[in-house]
Amino acid sequence: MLQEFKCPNCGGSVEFDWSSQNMKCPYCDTEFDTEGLKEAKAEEERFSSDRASFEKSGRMWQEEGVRHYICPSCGGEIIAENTEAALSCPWCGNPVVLKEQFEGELRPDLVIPFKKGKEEAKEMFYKHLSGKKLLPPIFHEKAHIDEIKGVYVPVWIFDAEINGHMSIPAFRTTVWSDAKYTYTRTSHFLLLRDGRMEVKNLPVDGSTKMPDSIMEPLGPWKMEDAVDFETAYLSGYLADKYDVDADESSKRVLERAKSSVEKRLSATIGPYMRGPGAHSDISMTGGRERYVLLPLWILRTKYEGKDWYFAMNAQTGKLVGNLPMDKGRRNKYFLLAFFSCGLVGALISTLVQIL
Amino acid sequence: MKKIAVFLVFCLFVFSLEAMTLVEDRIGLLSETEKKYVLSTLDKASQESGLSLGVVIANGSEGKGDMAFADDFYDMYINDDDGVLLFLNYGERSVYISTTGYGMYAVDDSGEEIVFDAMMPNLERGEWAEAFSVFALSVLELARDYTYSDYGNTVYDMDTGRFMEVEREEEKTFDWALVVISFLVPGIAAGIITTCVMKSKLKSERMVDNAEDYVVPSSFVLNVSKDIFLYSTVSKVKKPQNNSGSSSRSSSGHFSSSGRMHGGGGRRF
Repeated sequence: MLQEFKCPNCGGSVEFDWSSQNMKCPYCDTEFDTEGLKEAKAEEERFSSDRASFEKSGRMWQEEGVRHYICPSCGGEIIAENTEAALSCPWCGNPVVLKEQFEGELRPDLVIPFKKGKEEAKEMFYKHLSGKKLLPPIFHEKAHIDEIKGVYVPVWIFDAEINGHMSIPAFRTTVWSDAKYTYTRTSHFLLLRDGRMEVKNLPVDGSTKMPDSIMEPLGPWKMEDAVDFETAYLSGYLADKYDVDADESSKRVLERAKSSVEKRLSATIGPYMRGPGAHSDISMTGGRERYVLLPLWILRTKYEGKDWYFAMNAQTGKLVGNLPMDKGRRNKYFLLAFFSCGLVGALISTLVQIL
Repeated sequence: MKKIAVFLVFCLFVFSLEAMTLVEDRIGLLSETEKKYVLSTLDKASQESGLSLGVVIANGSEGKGDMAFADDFYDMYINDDDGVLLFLNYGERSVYISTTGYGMYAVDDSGEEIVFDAMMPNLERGEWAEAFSVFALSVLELARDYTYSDYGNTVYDMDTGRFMEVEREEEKTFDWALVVISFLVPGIAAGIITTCVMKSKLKSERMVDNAEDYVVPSSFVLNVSKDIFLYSTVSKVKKPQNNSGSSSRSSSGHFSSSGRMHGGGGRRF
């Protein structure tokens, strides 16, 4: 079923406003308390069976990989991927939320609302491009920064106890000498270490559409800003539901926690020198996972036939995304450094020989 | 005539630069055959070592003492800057080695003992030619261990009686290859480092392979800590010995009546 929040004042589509953290009509600038608007919406839907408009809207049928909807505002056809949960109608631009994507087991536990607006995101993106000497100058124009989109990305947030066991080959040396020889005794040991630590709020990307190499460096996220999920927060933004479940995601928790546990266990070897061939084994116990939607500003752009992907943490402002390199500029800077340092080296060598 | 005179002077000059050998038997101890044998051994040792070598046999030291007799004989009849002379005082049953220049370095105090030790069996049995041949070969062995170029890097300290190593200033030449290398190596390194640093600023996508941002502070607890001894090994490395020779060569030096610096020592048999 499609959900659209209408302004009681002017009938326009209401969106979530990041600056006030409330729902706001972009047409008449009226602000609404999120809870209040939700209640009003619930009242309206109680009588939905009597309203032909709501009977017409929300009709959907499926083809493989996509779903078809009818926009409740303009009646236009909306085609959405199976994972899409909030989007804009391609005909009238009104935001719609696909409620059934968040029902039952699919309902997120928490959502972190947007804290940074679109203009701020664009400014951060321009800042990301500045000072990059090898970036092609034309990329600024070709990036189409205005096409930046606000998206809620599904993640699994884990709290867990991580248990680690390590066996570490190690050695100690003693050196002494007499008149003729210097002696070295090397004593070899096997150090066994067991320990545990807790991790809290570790996010793992729940969407295959979002590359982990972009999602992971965007953290950490401040979970104190998270609120109980309401579909109202999604209005005006895009959103996906998860397609990687919690069990699958928990494997990544172990991968990330492994090096942190190993680091702590290795630090306990004391006076020994570490040898090669250490083994470790870790497990996760006593944890919980929560399904959370995290806010991002995302830009997908094409440059010289290749896709470039950028994402900004809409809570902290951290931005991640690789940039293309101008080979001509690279060669220019290489030659500049080569000749400057080469000449200095040759001059120093000449002076040393002369003096 | 003029050409002959020039040629003769040239020969004198050349031959005076070469080491010489001499066998002076004043009491007829050696036969002609033995004398030739000894001379040939001395020649061979002299050519290879660059030292002038001589043997003198007399019944006494003319009242001067073995040291003065040997020094004066060398200065008068050999008169080379670098040489070793063996004096057999038949009447006193003693031998004396007089050294000068490079000879003092190659056959220093300890070298003299080595030569005497080698000669002793033959001297005691009256095998004179053989003893003199052993003398020549022993000096050659010492010269092979303590070469003329080693000697060239030393200065004799009269007070301590030791040959001290000196640092010589090397002739300075301008090395263009060094300049080219000093241009290329830092240049290439700077170019690579600069462009790598600039390129790294374009990359921000990465997998985060740790959970440090999410570990609860002070939550780490070590439950088990066990150190198991497996085995030990012992290795040894020989300490470097100081065999350079130069600073350990010591020869008790003195001046002869002619004013030349000599070393030397003697032994009875």
